Amino acid sequence: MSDPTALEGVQVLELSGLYGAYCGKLFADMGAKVTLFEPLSGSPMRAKPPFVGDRPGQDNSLAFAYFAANKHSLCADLATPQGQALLLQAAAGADLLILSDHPDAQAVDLAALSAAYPRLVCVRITPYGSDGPYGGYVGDDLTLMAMGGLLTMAGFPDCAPVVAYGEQGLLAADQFAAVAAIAALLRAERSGQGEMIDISIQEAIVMALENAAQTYQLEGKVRKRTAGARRAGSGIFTCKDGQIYLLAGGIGETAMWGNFALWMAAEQCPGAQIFAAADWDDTAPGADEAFQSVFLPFAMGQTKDQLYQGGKTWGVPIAPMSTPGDLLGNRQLLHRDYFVQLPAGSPLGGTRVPGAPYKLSATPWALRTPAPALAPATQDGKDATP
Amino acid sequence: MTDLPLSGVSIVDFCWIGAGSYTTKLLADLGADVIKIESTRSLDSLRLASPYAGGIRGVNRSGYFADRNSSKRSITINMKDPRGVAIVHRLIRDCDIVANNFRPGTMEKLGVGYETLRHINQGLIFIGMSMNGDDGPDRAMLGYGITIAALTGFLGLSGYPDREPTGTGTNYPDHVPNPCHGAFAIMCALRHKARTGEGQSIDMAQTEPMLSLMPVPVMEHGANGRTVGRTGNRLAGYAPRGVYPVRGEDRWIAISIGSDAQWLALGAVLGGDEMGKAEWGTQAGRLCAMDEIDRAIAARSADHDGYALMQALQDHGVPAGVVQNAADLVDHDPQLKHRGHWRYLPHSEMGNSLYNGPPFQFASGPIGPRFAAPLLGEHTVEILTERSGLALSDIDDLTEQGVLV
Repeated sequence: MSDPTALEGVQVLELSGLYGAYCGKLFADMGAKVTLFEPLSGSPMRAKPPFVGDRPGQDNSLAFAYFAANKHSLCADLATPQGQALLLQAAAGADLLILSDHPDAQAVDLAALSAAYPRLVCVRITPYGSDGPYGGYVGDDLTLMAMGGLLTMAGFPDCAPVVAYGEQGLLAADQFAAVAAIAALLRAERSGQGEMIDISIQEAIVMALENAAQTYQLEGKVRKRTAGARRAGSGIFTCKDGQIYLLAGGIGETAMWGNFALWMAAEQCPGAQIFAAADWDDTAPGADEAFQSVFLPFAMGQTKDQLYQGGKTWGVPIAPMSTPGDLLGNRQLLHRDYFVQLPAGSPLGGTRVPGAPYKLSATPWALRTPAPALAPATQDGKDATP
Repeated sequence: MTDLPLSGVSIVDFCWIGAGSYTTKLLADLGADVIKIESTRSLDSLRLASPYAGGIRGVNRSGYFADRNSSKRSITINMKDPRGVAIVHRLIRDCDIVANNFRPGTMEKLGVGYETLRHINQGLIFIGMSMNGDDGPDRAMLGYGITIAALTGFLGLSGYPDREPTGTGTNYPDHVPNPCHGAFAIMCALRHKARTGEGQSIDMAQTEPMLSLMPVPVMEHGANGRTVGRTGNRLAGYAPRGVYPVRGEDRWIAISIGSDAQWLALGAVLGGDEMGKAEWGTQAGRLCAMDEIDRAIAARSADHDGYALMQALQDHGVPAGVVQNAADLVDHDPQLKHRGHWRYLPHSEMGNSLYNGPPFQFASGPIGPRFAAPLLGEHTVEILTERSGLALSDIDDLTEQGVLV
């Protein structure tokens, strides 16, 4: 018998494109029935590179295989009355509707759906929000990371800012959309009151600015990009088989520097007595050079994993700069069975992908079905069950 | 006036510093009553993290702490004293959720481990958010956002291919992936509890949500035998995609071209013969000349005002955005103003200070920080008289005896 799921009985209708899908995935993986409402040509994510074997194809996109797993597919042309009827019918049974950059998003009348089904929770994800001065602006991850203020802090001062890996700005909006949607869903189940939620991707990125907005408001300082200008004892360092990140300085008042000094002393690292000196100042001129002259020779004799284990023993935050191969072989992730195989039934069946982002003891996360094949256009509202 | 989505939900919160406090803040802003367990003997170190109101250091003056702790109440309790632990147990008996982001084992040492608490409160939802999770060989590791970024490969994949990785310049996993996943998991458990009465424990390793947001590197490794690397601002499907100088000191604009029509529009706005080269008219042609194209754009964009150029490109449907800094966002951005993103909340030591509103708006009514971050121990008396049945004289005695500190 399979485990109970937290979101059993929840029906989600997802009208997504290149974003919005992670929001639906969070629901699907916890047991909701998520139906991906696709245009006749298929979700745009089916065409997103890279592809397995570098062969484009409806079921070959790595991103689609991951983000659409556990979902069902329903296919219709929203430009036709039949397509609209199908949407209305699908929404009738839905608890939550997610609308992002579906190619026919303009043809979805959320106000009408929400009036027809007062219990329905609707979530609309757009680059800047659905109205306002930038309400009509277009955006992709890079331009939104720029406008949301995260890009200005990323990179070296001597060249253009550089965006984070993996279109995280779009994914930030998906995550906040899921948080807002499930909160509204809890209330809808309690009171019968649905909701219309409007998410701005730009604003989701603004949530990630750490202390930058408050630093400006309270101290008048504007945070910029600072890569390369480091505090002694913090940053990326080369070791025997790659690189590690060391954070021996720190946030707030911590004991980590002392722990680091004890570790280096125990290793009998030549010159390490300067770290234990009462007048050590990691921001003083020359401190970084002094630090490196002692630490680098030691680090070069150690592997990433040896340094990581040393940090664990001594209470010093340090981590390997992992490669994908390192991650697949990471002993902690293996112990937790973190990576799971995509289920058989698609060209990517058997490929290892990220698994549960959290372990719930009574209602665990589960990957059950592969990303759906593109359903044939249908008139009767039956969807393709993978 | 409708009730807030999480009205009636009660949380006893042991979280501190970054991701944990942000998780419970999301729930507090959505209406949950969050009681932050603190102690003057062992401070949440974010209380001593800059910026400070007026630049003056103090436990009630950090803007960083404030933004992560809006809508919460604070109680000071000495968990080293058994009477303190007993008081906390009384609070937990009637709550829905206990949250922490300590290393595994710490809650047990404090007398508030899950096995103890589940007997006090059978419907309890208990979440632990350590770096590596509750079990496994590296469970004891101490982690921060930036070391999690390194371990997950996120840091190593972010930056220019020919230089050191640069990441986001922040502790990114602390600010979005972990708070959002933690809050979502808790609300999943709340739904299960509402339907069945059953509580449960949630083990969220802070490395794992970040990894769940970057599936392609491991899939490329497994399915295609390829190791992905840094690509700077470039991305498959776009040509060009970059950040280019505009007028002013250290001012930039991001432009992403996803179609030939957008490329033509960019050329029309920027002008110049080079931009009209026939061989650059198709994406395949442009992909063969990316460096040259980036130089051609930069040579022209540098004479433009960033906002005017953004508007001109947006008028043609071209994704373009100025690289905005905190001053731009807080003082000028008309869209954030329109959406009421920035909230100024009164605080007895900090004055009116700045908070983020949420990136979501609810049609039924306002959502967001309900009141400013608490002073250290501000609500000790209020909470104990309301929730533990202690008389004021008991509270005074326990304070005197070093229990409620």
